[in-house]
Amino acid sequence: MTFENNFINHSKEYIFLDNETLLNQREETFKKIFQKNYDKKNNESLKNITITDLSKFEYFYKPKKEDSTISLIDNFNYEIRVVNGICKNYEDDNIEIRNLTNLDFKKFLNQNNNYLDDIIIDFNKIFLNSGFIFNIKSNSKLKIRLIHSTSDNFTIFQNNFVNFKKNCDVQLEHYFNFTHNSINNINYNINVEEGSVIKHNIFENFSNTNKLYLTSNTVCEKSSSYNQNTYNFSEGFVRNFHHALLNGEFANATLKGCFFLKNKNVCSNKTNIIHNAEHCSSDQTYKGILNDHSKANYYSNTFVHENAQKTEGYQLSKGILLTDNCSFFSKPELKIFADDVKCSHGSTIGPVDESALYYLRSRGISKNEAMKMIISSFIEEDLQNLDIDGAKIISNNLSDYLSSLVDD
Amino acid sequence: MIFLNINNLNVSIEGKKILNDFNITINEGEVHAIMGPNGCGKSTLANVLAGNEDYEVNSGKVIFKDENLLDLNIEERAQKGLFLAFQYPVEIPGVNITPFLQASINSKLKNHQKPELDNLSFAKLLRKNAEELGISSDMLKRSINTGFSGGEKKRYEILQMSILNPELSIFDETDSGLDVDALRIVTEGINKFKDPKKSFLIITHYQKLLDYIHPDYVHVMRDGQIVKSGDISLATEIEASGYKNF
Amino acid sequence: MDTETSQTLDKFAQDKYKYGFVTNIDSDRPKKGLDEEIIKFISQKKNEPNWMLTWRLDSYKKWLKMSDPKWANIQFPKIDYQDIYYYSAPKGFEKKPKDLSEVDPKLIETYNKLGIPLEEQKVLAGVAVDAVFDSVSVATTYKGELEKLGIVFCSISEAIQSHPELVKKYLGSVIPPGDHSFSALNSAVFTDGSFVYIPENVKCPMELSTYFRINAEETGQFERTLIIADKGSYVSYLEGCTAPQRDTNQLHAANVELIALENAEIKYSTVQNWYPGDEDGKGGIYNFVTKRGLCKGKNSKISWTQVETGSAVTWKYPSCILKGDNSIGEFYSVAITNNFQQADTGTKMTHIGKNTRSKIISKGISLGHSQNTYRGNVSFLRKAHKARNYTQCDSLLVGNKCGAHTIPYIDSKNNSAIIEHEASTSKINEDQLYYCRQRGLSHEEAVSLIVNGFCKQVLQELPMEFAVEAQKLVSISLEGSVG
Repeated sequence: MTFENNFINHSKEYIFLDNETLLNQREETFKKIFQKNYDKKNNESLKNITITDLSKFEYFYKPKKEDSTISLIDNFNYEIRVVNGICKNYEDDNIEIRNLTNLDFKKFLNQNNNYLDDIIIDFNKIFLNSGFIFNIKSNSKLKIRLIHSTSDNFTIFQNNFVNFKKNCDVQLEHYFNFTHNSINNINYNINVEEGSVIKHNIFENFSNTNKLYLTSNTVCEKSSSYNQNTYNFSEGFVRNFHHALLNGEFANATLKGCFFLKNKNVCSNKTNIIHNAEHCSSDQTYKGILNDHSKANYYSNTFVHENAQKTEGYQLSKGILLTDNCSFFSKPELKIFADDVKCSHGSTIGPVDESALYYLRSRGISKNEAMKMIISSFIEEDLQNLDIDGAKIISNNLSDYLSSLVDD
Repeated sequence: MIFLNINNLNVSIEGKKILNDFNITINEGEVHAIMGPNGCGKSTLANVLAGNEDYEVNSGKVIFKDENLLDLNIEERAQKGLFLAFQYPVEIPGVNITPFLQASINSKLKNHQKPELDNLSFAKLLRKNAEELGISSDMLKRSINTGFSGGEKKRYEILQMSILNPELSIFDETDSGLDVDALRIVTEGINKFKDPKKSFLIITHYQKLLDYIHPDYVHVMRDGQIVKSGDISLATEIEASGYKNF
Repeated sequence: MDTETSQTLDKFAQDKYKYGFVTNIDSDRPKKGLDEEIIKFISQKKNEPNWMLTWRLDSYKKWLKMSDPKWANIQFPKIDYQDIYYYSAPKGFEKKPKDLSEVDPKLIETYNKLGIPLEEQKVLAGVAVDAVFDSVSVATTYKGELEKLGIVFCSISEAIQSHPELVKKYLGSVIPPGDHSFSALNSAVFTDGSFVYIPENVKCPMELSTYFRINAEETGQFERTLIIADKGSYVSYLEGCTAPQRDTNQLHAANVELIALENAEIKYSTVQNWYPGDEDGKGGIYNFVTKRGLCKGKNSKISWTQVETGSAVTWKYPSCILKGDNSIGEFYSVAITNNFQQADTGTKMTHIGKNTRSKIISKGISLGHSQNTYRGNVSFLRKAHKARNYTQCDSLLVGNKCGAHTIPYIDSKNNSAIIEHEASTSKINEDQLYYCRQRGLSHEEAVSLIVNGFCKQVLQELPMEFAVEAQKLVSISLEGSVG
């Protein structure tokens, strides 16, 4: 279907049909892309993606509400299933979650992600068809499992708002398990209020008939800590673009990720941290293993405003290329306007350490096992935030990945 | 002449009080040792005397060679003859000792209206003193303190002291992290440098260093104050029963 | 920050330019602006053969269709290409003087003021100088001695006459005129520059040196330098630049091409001290330079070293194309920006051949209100087996009104290749300052010493004669002393 047809088809389903400003915004964004009125050459949001892929799709979205569930596994331990972009409305002493309605237009008007200059966000704005608002109440100490899944060839354009109120302590386990031929353009606006400590683990693993464009935009207030880890084992295309703004002093943001690619898979990654207050620290670390004809990119960016003295910023990107046919592009940027800072970045790309492999094999360890040991050690420090369940999932995924990779 | 007199000195860092009505007098040619448990304010004393700007002097007086020391900035104090041998000498990559120390000695000579040393005479002086301290010419080629072992760093401090020829040398826990051999080499360097015109303030946690240096006075410091003064026997007492009796 | 530190910083921020004098010499200039007529005029002035004129005109046609590159982190008003003089020669240079007695004494005096004596007996032993004054090469010293070895060291205009086959073969072979707008512009209107050819197995016994100077007002300087090192040869080339102090901005869009054949090595060092503009950011040179080296043969090596302290805006990426197997590319850079200077500089290492190696060491120092960006691209193509890159870029911020930015692009398409990249940004270490001052150094001396130490890895790559000068320049850029 053409981009234009999709646009017209979707028009009737747009949530904010009665808000003129948003309607105009939608129309303008459509025009911008339709008239190719954007940076085509150096547009980071289009790296490894073609605009044709994005605009020529079969727009289809007819979800049923019944599938979504929310359950309390035990005290302070929730499991929330978001099926086809829809959640079940629910509220208790700790959390409140509900689907967006057309009364939520204000949130969209105030939403400030225009500065991102991101074509994927533009598509999200044009075709918006779902979203939820999720509040975690003050002082809650919770574990939440949030599962996104699909039950048909849906095209999901979703915008969610997650608000961690003051002094929360939350571990959010976030799963993306898609089936069929779905396209998922999901944007999260996350707000971490003063004193909250959030661990956010994102597990991406689905077949190559599905696509995920995941974007998050997190604001960290004073003395809060937001720690995000993405684990991408998908055979389908994944784009992980994550942004964090450190907006109050003594806040910390960590955006980490690792990805494991094979066949002709492609994965596009970006992290971006803006320091806008004193005494904040940040860490951006992505690691990737690439096999076969796979392809990946990683942009990272630390931006330190003039007023953000005593900043500590750290960036690292590491890639292991297993064949001659894969490629990895990395661009770690530092943009610094304050002088009392300690910022650094490191980046390495190369093959598996042959001498380590040789050493292990000379001790009688099989090539498969040796590879697994080396690659496990490569991501070991990224597993520290995981609980037992999470660690098990990663370990299983890693075994699957490695078994397809070594033939001895 | 008043050589060094510290009178009711009160010092804090980030609002926390460290030195509390601290008093001491050191005369020309004397060797004083200050001992005390961790956190008693020993290192603060050394850094306040050197002019470290992280510390805030709340009240009190410090007279050094008849002048108000607290009016001078870091380099002016150094040029006046105060030397601090650092506990952890900082690494300065890419900077060689020769231009560094030559600029340093010349700033002092200039301050005393004496002729400055030219490259050749400085190089000779440096080589001679380095040889005496058993510092290889190879080590002189490296960047200041960069990649040095703990012992090498301390020897480097002694070398700088021997060239700058200060009237008051303060040693801030020079013995920390040194093995016995390194300790001996360092203390030999200090002893060689002793003369009736020079004074020393040795700050240490352990008695060991004092076995080699033989101070004239030993002071015990606690909670930002000197709580007891005496001779070397005080150090022996501490070695035997620790600081709990003070 | 304590008051003393800020005082010292203020002092640093008031850097004075000591090469800002103007030499009063009548210039021979055609009208302002760029069109085919001007290009024909330049070509005719230089008595060029027809193929050269055609090349220029083709480049001009390409330029007409292009716009200036926009991706750099620099801001400046749009350049009015019709408001620039494209040719300026000191009067009396219609024909190149045979020896120095024919040169206007004022010119010789100018170069003496710059510390570049042209009189051969005064020339530093071992440095041959080709001085470019505005658009004309003034004199080439030591020419005779080099000729004996078969080395060609002359102005590019002269080379077009005397070695057309070499110029034809290599000019534009590394930087094609259509590469980007500045290279097209330069190819159309370049006026002079140096040409070097080192024959097979000859090790050039002395440093070759060019000294560029922009004198005439509103004159763009478009030199073109071409250096060819034939099989097994070696050459070290130095380039120094200054310009007088003026309120208006002047454009400098040079192109430098290096070609190293099998087993050859070229070392190219630059000390760039163009007028940076005043404390308020008025005036100064726009330094939009394209420098690219091709390691064409096996085991060849090209090494760039630059100390960039001048210019209002710098846009410069000395690069290496590592085509020959086992070839080596190096880039060592110090960039200091002060007041309202902007620098976007770095390198591009393209690994094509097997076992190619590259090394990048970049040191950026920002002061005042300046913006200093490192931009570097390292790419390993499919066949770059066992290629290696090591990159280290460190930035130092002095004062809290400036910016330091690091933008590396790292692209690997070969799994046996290894890229290592490290970068850091910080302010001057307070502990180091304390240590130096405890030894009696003033705040200013201490900063200068620490910054020089910070740059050491790069400065030590410069040839002896230059290293000392560069060290002083680094201190001057920080100190703001006039003499």
